[in-house]
Amino acid sequence: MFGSETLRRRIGDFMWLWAFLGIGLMGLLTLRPSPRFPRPEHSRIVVDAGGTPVPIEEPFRGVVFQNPIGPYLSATQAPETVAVAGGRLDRAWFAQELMGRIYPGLLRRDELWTDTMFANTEAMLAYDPGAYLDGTIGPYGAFSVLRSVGLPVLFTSTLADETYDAMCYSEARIETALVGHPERGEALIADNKRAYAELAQELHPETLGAPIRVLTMFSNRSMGRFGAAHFNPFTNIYLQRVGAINASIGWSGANWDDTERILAMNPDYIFLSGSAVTPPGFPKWGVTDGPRDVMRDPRWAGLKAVQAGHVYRLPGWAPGLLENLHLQPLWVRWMAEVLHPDRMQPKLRAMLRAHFVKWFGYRLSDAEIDAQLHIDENGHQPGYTRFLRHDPAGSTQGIAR
Amino acid sequence: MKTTLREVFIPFVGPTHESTLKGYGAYVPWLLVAVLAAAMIGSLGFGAYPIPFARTLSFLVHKLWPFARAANPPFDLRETVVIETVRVPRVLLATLAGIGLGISGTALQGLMRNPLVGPDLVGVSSGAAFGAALAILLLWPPQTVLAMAFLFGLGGMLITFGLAKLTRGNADSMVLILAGVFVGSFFIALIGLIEFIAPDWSFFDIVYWLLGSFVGADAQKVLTIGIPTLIGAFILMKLRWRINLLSLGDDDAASLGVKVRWLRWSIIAVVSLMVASQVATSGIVAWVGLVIPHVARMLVGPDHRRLLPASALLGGLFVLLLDDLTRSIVNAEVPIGILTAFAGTPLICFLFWKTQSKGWTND
Repeated sequence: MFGSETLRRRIGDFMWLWAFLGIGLMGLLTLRPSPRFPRPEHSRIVVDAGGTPVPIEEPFRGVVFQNPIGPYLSATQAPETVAVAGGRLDRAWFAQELMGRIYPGLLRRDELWTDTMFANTEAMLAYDPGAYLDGTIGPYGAFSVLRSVGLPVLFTSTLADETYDAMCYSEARIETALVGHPERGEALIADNKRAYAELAQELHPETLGAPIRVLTMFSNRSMGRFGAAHFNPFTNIYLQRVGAINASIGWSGANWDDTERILAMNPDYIFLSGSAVTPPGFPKWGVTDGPRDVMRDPRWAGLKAVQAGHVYRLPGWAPGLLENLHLQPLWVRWMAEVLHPDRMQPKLRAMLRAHFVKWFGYRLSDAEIDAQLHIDENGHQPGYTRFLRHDPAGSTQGIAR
Repeated sequence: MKTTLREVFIPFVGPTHESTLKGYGAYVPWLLVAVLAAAMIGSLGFGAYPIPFARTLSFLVHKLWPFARAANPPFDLRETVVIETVRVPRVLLATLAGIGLGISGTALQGLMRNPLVGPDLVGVSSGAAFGAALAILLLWPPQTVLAMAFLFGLGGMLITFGLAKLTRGNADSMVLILAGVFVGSFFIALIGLIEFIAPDWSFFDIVYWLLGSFVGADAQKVLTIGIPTLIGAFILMKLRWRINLLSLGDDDAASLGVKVRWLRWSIIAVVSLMVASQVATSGIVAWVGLVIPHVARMLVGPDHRRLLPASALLGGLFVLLLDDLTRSIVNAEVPIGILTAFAGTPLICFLFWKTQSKGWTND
């Protein structure tokens, strides 16, 4: 009964017990307190959106992002503080943005653009920056492990931020405080509020009649896809500022590929999101139809907006009406000039140019402004002559101060 | 003539050999434990943070061996965080998930005398997935996500059993499997509804979670899965010879002193707890509970006294190695559920093809 063969079998039959005990003990080891990074000897405190004071080591070693860097750069104007800017597609997108033209040096630095970032705690640890920035505090912030070991992680907004403006203001304050220039954030916020106040003074939205019904949608016929971008509630407040309402209010759920819903909404104006051109390497679904394509599409022939020619590509490159603090009030003004040309002076080109000279020392060229306003696509639409350049020859290259 | 367990599973292990390693079966537990231990240590060397493997080993020696000499150069705090806080919990989580799924699948297949049964069929996985998706949609904290997954996983199990009892079905009958399929489909529909109404920032979190991942492993998740899995596995180990007796049929097993009804529901309850804890901590990792029992059966034969521990250890090894692969093949991590499906489906297709010529019948 206890011969060597039997003994081997007996021991072998209970090997699992040792394995489970070993794993169980290892599991108990995880209960030990995690190692924590000590507070830096020389540091200053920056409070993030959740109210957590985060010590930032001096001198500041730069920031690693979880979000696109455009808004960060536009608020801080500190490209030297970018430690990691994003992945390959982020780079292509950044090259298309105005920030990419204003700070072209970032595009030339390959070490700033890496695809290893997403959800990879170890890769983020390897960068050893002065701070990690994440967009919104939620259950699944990718930096939670880093914060738990005492690394400087800042969340730039919270889910309690009810409006896009509130989110942007929070981001601007924290980002500019991070680079040691909080006054830039406050100045930007003040300028943003002033721009809306001036718009209201010119438009007098309280005296407008029935709100104009606007639908923001995208269309990609080559992929056979279209839909109404109504589900983001952030955009509604900007429509209200220009005397418009979202034509898709009341229609719940996604409107992907549902012709009947779009026809039932029957908006007065259609604003198209997306772009006719995407950077190299971007997927094809990023290319969307322009005003002429939509107006030629027999499905939409019966829409009021199509019949009146009120179909326009939204300015800029951001997805549907949500931009950084610099461009947001300018694009809201764009909407006001499109919807209420009788009340608004054609000043957008001049305002756009003046704004970027003032804040970035960068004079936008005529070609760059044309690209932002999608003159090539919108130029033939009713009322768009106000956005055209006065000199057809114009300038093609922007000038940095 | 009743079909015994051996006859049910002979098509998978061959008509003349009890196991592929006939004669060496006694050594398999040793081998599996050794390989699993080596894999766990080796897995600590995988990751995006550049640490030479020799240095990782040195770190482990310094942590575990009180008489080790001081390291030269000393360990960087980041290296310590990577190994202790990031990798150790992740390796444990992956191993425990594999152990739980492997042993659960084997127990269920033995219980139901059906080689195509898996832990997903009692409504636990989909119920837990729905609970977690709901918590993510409502933006509840991670601890609540775990709790919701656990609760809904158990709830799914209870609904399945309740449905089966309503039709007076037994735990080994097709009625229970069908009830599990109905409950699973219902929860999957609810998950679809959540995905439909979820805003962008929740949608991607939900989808990524549903694909199964060990990212974000921490002590809390290790304990959440470890306690039910190790206790449940221990209980199943103690019951393994009784599972063998069930193969003789209910009457014969009862005549040998087995409380058949109690045994069945106990095994199902234990399996449900283990699977719920796994889904709660790491999302849906499918195919492991279905495939690993067959592989283990090829190695050690259909005797559950060896099959259960072999399945547990093999399951842990399988999931751990796939998790190492997810961290290695591309820069961004591939969810583990995708890899288990890629690995599991060809294997189960092969096994299914192999049984076509053999079949299994009740004479």
